[in-house]
This record gives sequence, C-alpha cells and structure tokens, in this order.
Amino acid sequence: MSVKHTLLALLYQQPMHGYELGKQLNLVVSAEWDVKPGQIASTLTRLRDANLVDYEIEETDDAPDRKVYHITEEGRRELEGWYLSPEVRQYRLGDAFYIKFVLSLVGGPVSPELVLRTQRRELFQQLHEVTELSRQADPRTQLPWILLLESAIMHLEADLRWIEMCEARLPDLKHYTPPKPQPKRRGRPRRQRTKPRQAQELKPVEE
Amino acid sequence: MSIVRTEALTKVYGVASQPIYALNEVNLAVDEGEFLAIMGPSGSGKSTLLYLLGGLDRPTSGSVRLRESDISALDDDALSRLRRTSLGFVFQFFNLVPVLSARENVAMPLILDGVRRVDALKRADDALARVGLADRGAHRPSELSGGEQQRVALARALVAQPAVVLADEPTGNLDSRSSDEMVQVLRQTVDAWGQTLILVTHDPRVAAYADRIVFLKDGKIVDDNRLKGQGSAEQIREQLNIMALG
Amino acid sequence: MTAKTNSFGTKTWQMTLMALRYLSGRKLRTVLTTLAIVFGVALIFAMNLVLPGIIDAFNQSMASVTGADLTVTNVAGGSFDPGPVLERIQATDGVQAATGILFRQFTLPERDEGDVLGDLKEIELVGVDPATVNDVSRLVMHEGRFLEPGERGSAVISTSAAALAPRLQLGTDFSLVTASGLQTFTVVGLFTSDSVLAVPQFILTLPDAQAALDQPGLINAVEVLLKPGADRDDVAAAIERGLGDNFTPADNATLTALPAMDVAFAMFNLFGALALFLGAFLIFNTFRTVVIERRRDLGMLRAIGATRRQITQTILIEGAIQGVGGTLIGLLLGYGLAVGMLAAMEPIMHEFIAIDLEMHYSLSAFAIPMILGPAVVLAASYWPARSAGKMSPLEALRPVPLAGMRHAARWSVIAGGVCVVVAIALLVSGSSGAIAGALLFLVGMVIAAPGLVLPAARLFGPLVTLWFAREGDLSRGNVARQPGRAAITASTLMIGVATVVMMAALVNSMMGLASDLTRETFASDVLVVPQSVAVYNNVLGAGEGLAEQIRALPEVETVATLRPASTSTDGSPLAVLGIDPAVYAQVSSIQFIEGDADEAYAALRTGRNAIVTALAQKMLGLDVGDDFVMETAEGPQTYHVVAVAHDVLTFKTSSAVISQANLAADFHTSEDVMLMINLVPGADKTAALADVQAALAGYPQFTAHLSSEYGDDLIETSMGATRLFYFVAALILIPAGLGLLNTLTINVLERTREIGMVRAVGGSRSQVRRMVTGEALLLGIFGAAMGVLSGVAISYGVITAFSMIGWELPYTFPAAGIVAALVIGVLLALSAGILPARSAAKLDIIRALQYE
Repeated sequence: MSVKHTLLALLYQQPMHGYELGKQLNLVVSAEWDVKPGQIASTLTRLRDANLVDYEIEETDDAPDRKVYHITEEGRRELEGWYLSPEVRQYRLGDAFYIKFVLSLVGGPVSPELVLRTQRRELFQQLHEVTELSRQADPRTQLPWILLLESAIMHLEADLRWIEMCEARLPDLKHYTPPKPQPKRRGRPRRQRTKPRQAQELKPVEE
Repeated sequence: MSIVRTEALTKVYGVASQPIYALNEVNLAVDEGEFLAIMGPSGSGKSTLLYLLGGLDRPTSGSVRLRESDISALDDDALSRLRRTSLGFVFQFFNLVPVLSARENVAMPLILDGVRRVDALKRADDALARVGLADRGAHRPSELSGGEQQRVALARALVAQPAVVLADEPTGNLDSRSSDEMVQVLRQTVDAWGQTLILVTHDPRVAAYADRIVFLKDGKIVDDNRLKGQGSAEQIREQLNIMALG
Repeated sequence: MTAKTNSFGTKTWQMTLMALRYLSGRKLRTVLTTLAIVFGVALIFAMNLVLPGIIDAFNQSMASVTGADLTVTNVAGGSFDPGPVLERIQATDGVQAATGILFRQFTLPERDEGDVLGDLKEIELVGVDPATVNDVSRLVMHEGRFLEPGERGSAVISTSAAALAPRLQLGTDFSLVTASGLQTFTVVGLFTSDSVLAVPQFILTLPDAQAALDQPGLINAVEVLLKPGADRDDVAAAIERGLGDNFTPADNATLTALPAMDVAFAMFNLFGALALFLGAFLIFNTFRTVVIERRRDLGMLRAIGATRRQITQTILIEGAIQGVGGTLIGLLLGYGLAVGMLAAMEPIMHEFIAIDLEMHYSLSAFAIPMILGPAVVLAASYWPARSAGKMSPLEALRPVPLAGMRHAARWSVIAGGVCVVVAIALLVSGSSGAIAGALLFLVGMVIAAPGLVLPAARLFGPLVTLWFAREGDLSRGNVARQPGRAAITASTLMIGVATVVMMAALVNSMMGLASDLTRETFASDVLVVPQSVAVYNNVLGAGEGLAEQIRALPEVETVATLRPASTSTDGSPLAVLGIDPAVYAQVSSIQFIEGDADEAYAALRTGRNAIVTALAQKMLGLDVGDDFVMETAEGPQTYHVVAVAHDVLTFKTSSAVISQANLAADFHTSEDVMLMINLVPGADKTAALADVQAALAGYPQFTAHLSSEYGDDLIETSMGATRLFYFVAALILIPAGLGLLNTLTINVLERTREIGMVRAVGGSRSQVRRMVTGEALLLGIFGAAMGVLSGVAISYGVITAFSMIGWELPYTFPAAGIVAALVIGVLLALSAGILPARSAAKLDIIRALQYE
C-alpha cells in the first residue's frame, strides 16, 4: 500500500504538518490501517528529496517550530498519475488452501471432500461473522467501514462459490493425474508447445 | 428441546426398479428459536426436505415430528389445518393472491381458519408492522416492489404465530438490496420474537445470517454447521487488514 | 387458537370477495364467458316465454264456454243430438241443471279496414238455449239484455270482443261469416268476460248457431250446474257412467294439439339445449384454464392452510357469481329476444294458423332458465373446481407437467373412435336408435377431439402455411401445444357448425318433400282455400251451397271438396278428412305409399274404410288391413285401413281420409274447408278464376287461387318458416364464436411473454398478428371439419328418426349447407381472431417480457 501517495493525496487537500497528517490519515481511510508516525516522517523526507513536497517553517510560541508541508507542482502530477493508474490485485496463485486442496487430490490421509467441507465451514463462519458486523454497523457514520466489510463478504462469497465449484467437479478432479516429468530431450526444449498442451490436459475438466 | 425433528426421513421418486432418493434417511432436529439455513446444490433434496417439514408432501418413509407429534400421520384436512395454524410459508415466486390487498393476503390464514374478518385484519396489520410495512396494507401486490411483496408474504407466514416459518428461496427473486432487507427482517423475527425459522437458499450471503447451516447432497446431510455466535470484531479486523492490504 | 365465530360467513365472504376480484381482474374473459351463459339462458327464457303462448293459443278453445261447473262433450269432439243426452244428464244425481250448447272457435276472414268487427280475429261462436242457459251459466251482463227464447238474428257479445271491436255496441248490426254465407246479426247485449284476454265470444240462439255452423238440430256440449254441495268428481263419474264411453265430462276430447307443432317445439327446445350445452362447454373450458392459470395462487392457498374443500369452493363461488349474473342478464336479453322472435314469427304464424301470439309469463318460464343457468354453470365448473381442490400444494408450485399428454391423447382418440363407430352402426341400422346414434357421434367427436388436434394441426397446417407462409408453423405449434383447449374450442365450433349443417340437411329434405307434395296435391286447376290452411278446425267452412254454386259455373268440370273433423283413436289425436272418393282422384293426387289408389278410392265408397297418412301409420301403428276404432259423434266406430298415403296437407299430421258420407254419418259434419276445381278442357283459367271469386262474395273466409300459383306461394311461405330455423341455427353460432374468441384471447394472454420474445427477436407486429390469425384459422378449419362430419351424421340420424315417426324424408346431402358451414366456420374463426390478434400485435415488448 502506498503511504507515499496517501500523504500526497492528503496534502492536496490543504498544507499540513506531520502530526496532523497522521491523524487525518486514520480518519479518512481507515482506523484499521495502522501507520506509524516514524513511517510518516521518513516518507515525507523521501517525498521532499524527490521534490514532490516542500515545507515551510511555522513558528509557534510555546512549542518547537513545525514543518508545514505542501504539495509541489511535480507532486501534483505524480498524484494525478497515481489516481489514473488502476490497481491490479494480485492473484493468489500461491493460495494456501489451493495448495492443500490440490495435494489432497493427489492422495493423502484426508479426503478432498472433507478438505473442502472444512474450508467451507470456516468460510461460512467468517461470512457469518462479517455479516453480523456489517449488520451492527451504523450506515450513517460507518460507511467506509461497511464498504470494507462488504468487500470482505463478497470475497468470501467468491471463495465459497469456488469451493462449491470444486465440489461439483470433484468427481472429474479425482480422475486427474498430474503430468509426469518429461524425460529430457536432446537439443533445445520446446517451451512454446508444452505450455498449451498442459492447458489442454486440464480442459476436459471444464466440460 | 427441538421443535421440529425428522427421523430417517426418506423420499423416493421414480419407479421401484429405478428409485431416485430425493431424501435418504435424513435425521434433523431444529431447536426452538433457531434460524436454520438449508443449503446444497440443485437436486440435493433441500426443497423436498422443506416441503416434507411443512407437510406439503408426504415422506416415503420416516417421520416428521412437529412439537413431538407426527405430522406424517395426518390426513389432508388435518394437515391443512396444521399449515394454517402452526406453520408459515414464504416462497420464491407467486407468493400473494394478486386480487387481494396486502392486509387481506396476510389475514388469509386466519380467515381460512375462521377468525372473524375484523379481528383477522387487525392482526394482519400488526404482522405487517412487524415487517416494516405498516403503511402498505391497503396496496395490491402489483403495487408493491418485489421486496415488499416478499415481506408481505413473511407477514402472512407470521400472522398466525406459527411454531415454524418455512422459507423456500425467499430472496431468490430479489435484487441484492431487497434481498438484504428481507434477510434482515427474517433475522429480526428470530432475534426479537424467538421465531423458529427454516430457510432453503443457495445464496451464501443469506445463509450467513443463519445460526446454523445444514448442507444436503444427494439426499443426505453432509455437513451441519452451527455457526458460533458472533465472532470477535478484533479478530475479523485483523483478517480484513490482511485482505485489504493484500 | 382465537375464537372462531361466524366462521362460515367470514370464509365464504372472503372467498366471494376474492372471486369477484378475480373476475373483475380479467374483465374481458369474464364478459366473454358470462356472455355464453347469458346467451343460453336468453334463448331458453325466450323459448319459454314464446312457446307456451303458442301452445296456449292452440288450446284456448279448451276453456269452458259459459263458465259452468262441468262441460260434457262427445269424446270425438263431434256434435250430437241433444235430446237423450240432456235427459240423462239432468237425471244424474247432483246435477241441478243442464243446457245444451253448440260452440265453435274459428278465425274470421280478413276484412276491409273500418269493418264493424274491428281487430277481431279469432272468435268463438256459441249457440245457447235462452230458456235453460240461465239456469246454468253465470254470465254477468254488462249492458243490454240477454237473448229471448225463439229470437233470431240477435247476438250477445263478450266485453273482450267489444274491446277489440269498439264499434260493436248495443244495436249495432254486423255481418258474420257462416257456413251458408254472410249473415247479419244485431248486438242486443254485452256480457262481462272473465278476462280481456279470453277468446271473444258471440252468443246466438241455438237455431241461429246451428244454421251458421251447418249443424241443424245438433249441439256439441252440455253445460252442467251442480247442486250445492255436490262433489264435482263424483258427478262427473256418474255422468260418464250414465252416458257411456261416447261422452266425457272432461274436455280432453277437444285437445287437438298438432303433432307438427310438437315437432317444431321439440326443435326449438333442442336449440335451447344446444345453446346451453355450448355455454357449459365454454365455461368448462374457461374454468379449466382458470385453474391452470391460477395453479400457483391455489397451491399457495393450500400451502398456507386452505383445505381441498375451500379451494373447490373458491372456484365454484366464481362459477356461481357468473352463473347468477349471466342468468339475470340472460333473462333481460331473453325478454328482448322473445319480443323480437314474436315480431319475426307473427307474420309467418299468422299466415299458417291465424293465431295471436302472446308472451306467456308462467312460473316455469322464469324458473327453468333461473335454475338451469346457474345449475349448468355449477355443473360445468364443478369438474375444474374439483380438480383444483385435488391439486396438491406441491403440484401447484411446480411447473406444468407435460408428460402424459400424448398418452391421454391416444386414449381420447380410442374412446372417441369407439363412440363414433358405435354411432355409425346405430345410424346405419336405421333403427329407433338413430337419434341416439347422432348424439353419440357428437359425443364421440368431442371425446376424440383432444387426440385429433395434433393430426389435424399436421393435416391442415400446410393449408394455413399456404396463406401465412412464415407464421403458419408457429400457429400450428401453438395450437398443438394446448390440445385440450384447442379441442374444446374446436368442439364448440363443431357443435355450431354441425347445427347449421343439420339444419341445412333437414330443411333441404323437408323442402324437397314439401314442394313435391305441394305440386301433386294441388293438381287441380283452381283452388278455393281458407286463409289458414294448416288448421282446419279454426276455419268456418261452407255448406254444400258453395260447392253447388261453383259446380254450376260453365267453365267448371269437377269440384272436389275437403271436409275436416278431429277425433281420437286409442287416446291419440287423429285428424279426419272427408273426401268424395268419386271425384277426389281427379283433382288431387295423394301420394300412395302402400296400397293401390283406385282400389282405395273404391273401398272408401263402400264402407267404413280409411286411408291413413304415413305419420298415422308410424305413430298409431296402423297398417293396411288393420282395423281401428275412432271416437265419433255416434260413438266408437271401427274403420279399416285400405291404404297409406299423404299429401302436403296431411304429411305432418296423423290423419285418416274417409268418405264424406261417413264423415256426415259419424261426425255430423258436412262443412267444406277446401274446394279443388277442375275446369273444362280449354277453358280460360283467368276468366274461370274471376267467376269463382265472384261466387265467393258471400264467403269472405275463402280465397280462390290458380293452383299452380298457390302451390308456389305455399312453398315460398314454407321457406319463410324455415328462415326462422336458420335464424336460430345462426344464433347457435354466436356462443361458438365466443368460445373461439375466448380461447384465442386466453392464449394470447398466456403467451404474452412469448409474444414479447417473438417481437424482441425481430418479429414484426403484422407477423404476430398473422401468427394469432393463423391459429384462429387452424382452429376454425379443424372445428368446421369436425362440425361438417357430425352435422352430416346428426342430420342423417334426425331424418332417419323422422321417418320413424312417419315423415318419410328423402335424405338430401346438404352440399350447399356444408360449403356454407365451412365458410361460416372459417369466417367466424377469422373474425374471432381479429381482436386477440390485434391485442397481441399491440403488446409493448418490454412489458410483455416482464409479464408474469
């Protein structure tokens, strides 16, 4: 997550000093995203080095002088660029459950059915809890929180649907045998051809 | 004590040589005040189970006990009486009589039972208020939104203060917003009035509101998931952080 | 549970409320189905309003003439010598007084406007003995005086006569037709009649009446006053014992209800029944649709605790509402129809029987349709209602099962086929089961219809595709998809078309026979006939003098006359015609069915021999060589059947033709009601006609015609009468059309979503319209085809049945009728399709797609 752009976005609203920035960050985005004051300070320093922000010294009577940061023209451009570049969610290819499930297919002490069922049970448990939280949240004051919970609900639903699909395809999946390592050929390996073939072998499952 | 209990409940369709088990020796006990969701892939027998629980269909073998009395032994008239006094139904489609107003629809089970029309309509108004439709009683179903219609159906299911309310995909035909409202009202009837509620759904979001989820597959219960109360917010926050921050 | 008070009322009220709302929710359909009931009830109500009036008109003469306690008549209705009869009656215990009268009801000839007799048509001439009648009668004088003994040329008339002829007042002279020509009488008194509707009476002294009716010295009734306290039945029995079998204190002997009228009434009632049957069909169809359509509502009601009975009740209540509502509207419409029918029938009826038709408000006229209407609806909706009740709540929540449809269809074809085969066997056997065969054929077709829908759709589909190239297949599929509904609709149309075909065949056959007979009957050159030729009894004929006068004309070669009487044999009415066997054969040719003409005529001259009509042969079981006993004024007389024959005047009645000598001897009547005149060869017919007309100057009840023209006129008039049958047959088509409209409308409603889809994927409005029209066309062709088949079968059965009762009708294949019926059927289907097709085409795509 980009603390850098978050700070730029906040400074775009109005010039602020470091402590204000920390408070504002928690209020606007989420109370749950814990960003340490040190991290804010170091990020600000890096931003200034990159000439994306600058500061002026504000003198106070009873406290040490504060640096009030403001965004520079270059920072503005950087911020615009950030907003306009879509976020790509990382696909969880290394998902722990996926690995557990595939391994259970190949053979193990626990049946893949049970693995799926256990996971579904857990997902439902989470779904139930998140749903309960969202039911208790006040839509007037906690809207960003609710949005986040709903994102979670939807992801859980997607996971559940995927589990359901796995369950439905279980009879087919059981016939799946992982490809055996190919004996090494002489000459140049033909990568271009092996990849599509793997995909083809999976295909009957979809039908 | 369980309010509804099935014992080796079995329903077979098709011919004797090729029996199709819609339900195969299902044992299920539902506690009073419990919100139970029945889930499962299509053809798993979840609707059949609901219909048998509601006395809409007769089991091939086994029994359904409602408050310890075997409803499988009742004749059609007695079952009808049972349905209008002790059971409430909400279906996915075609829930209301189109030519009657909302309150008349809600009052129907009472009227069928011989309650005076004035009294029946008064109780119907109360039931409508419970589902948040106090001001919509005079409208015809066609003048109500899908979500409102479904809540009227719920009010009708509740009006006779039944032992159990049975709902078959009550949100299956609703948009997600109406669906949320509907499930919240369902949850509320359980929380506020201790209503026993059995619901068939394929929607995990709906099931997530339940206290307990039973999974059916090929006519058998494959999983019975009593959802532990309410999870700690802290724990969830942590999980969400992980998800949100990737 | 809660207190259950007044539970029945609440439930029923709620059900009624629901039924009403459902009905008003589908206004068009409600109107259409209710219309069917309205129509059936209207037809039956109208029939019941009109028919008894006609029957009454015939039977009006039955009433006691002067209002005595008891009237004694001859069992044959003939006149008799008063002396011994009066004596014996007066001697009977319990009889206070008795007086002989001679009465006769007849139709006055048409007169110039301004005649003193005003609007009088049917009058009763009563001859009384002023010396004794006052001991018996209870006439209340209104004005003037009663007749004096020995008085001649005076008349006392009823106030009902004066009401129709306002210029008939005390002292007025008037001319009255009599058997010896016009006679003048003077009004000396008016008496108060029982009601203004009573037949107007003219009371003369007995000798005057005997002269007027050509019955010198005879009476035809004895009116009796009972002693105070005497029991009517006892005295009647005593009189009967004293007088023997020839006389009866009841007046059943004068009951001469014509068999022909009976047949006509039966036909009209058949129409009413058919209309109601169609109505029932329509209702059955609609309610079946209603139940299917409302399956989910009903299933839901079951799910929330309605019992089977309660579900059945909701449907039945809906039926009852429609039944009662439809019946009430039907009564109103029926009244209008009756008025219209009377207006339409009046001229025709008047031509034939000279009777004033009146509405007849009897209890049964109201009760029959009021019971029948709702009862038919309830009966028709009962089955769908029951099947609704039988539905398990689950069934209702599932989609419509289509399985078993073909299976059922096959059975329907087998069952219907068996019916049709049995029906054909019955028809061909020509036995008395022919009518049953005809009906069975119809039933068989109805049963087989659902199974025939698919083959018919396949058979006629290409025909429709010819017309609507692209939409034809869709139409065919739509028809085939709902075989049950298509079958019922087609069956409805079938009955309508069958009725038309039947009528065409029947009228064809009857007209064929009638015109043949007419030409043969009126083989003479000139005819002198009374105004109403169908009922002689109501005609005051002429004495011998008229025939003599005409016979004296130079151009005239032969004059044959016809003299009627009515009697009974073995309790059945029989018309008797007296002819002069010597000359009758020269002027007329009765069609001989059995026996030889010359021998028969010769036999008539010798003894009590009779030629009977085919109807009499069948109805009374009289065959050549049989002896039978006729009641006559002289007591029972045995006649011998020498031949079976009929002509246009007698073919629709049970009649016996005897010699005029026998008629005079046994029935004391020598009144000519028809004169058939042959001219000298080469004579100028028009001049002869003019001479004959001149001779008729004193007999306004008669007119003279050239026989050929008269025959043509008669055939034309008969044609006019058949128009009435066509009219009613056409009325039958109305509910058939409604049925079609109904089915198509429901089909369109039910397929709203589908039609929306057709439009969404690019079907144009006109294509949708053509699709529905094509469907209508297919149903129309199917129904009309079935209708033609069953129409032929029914007409064959009915004609066979007619021959059973003696109307030997040749079966004429109604080719023109079939073509007409097919065209009508298809046109009807197309016009019934217009509205639904339009509404289908007008459907808004988006709305249609969202339609539930």
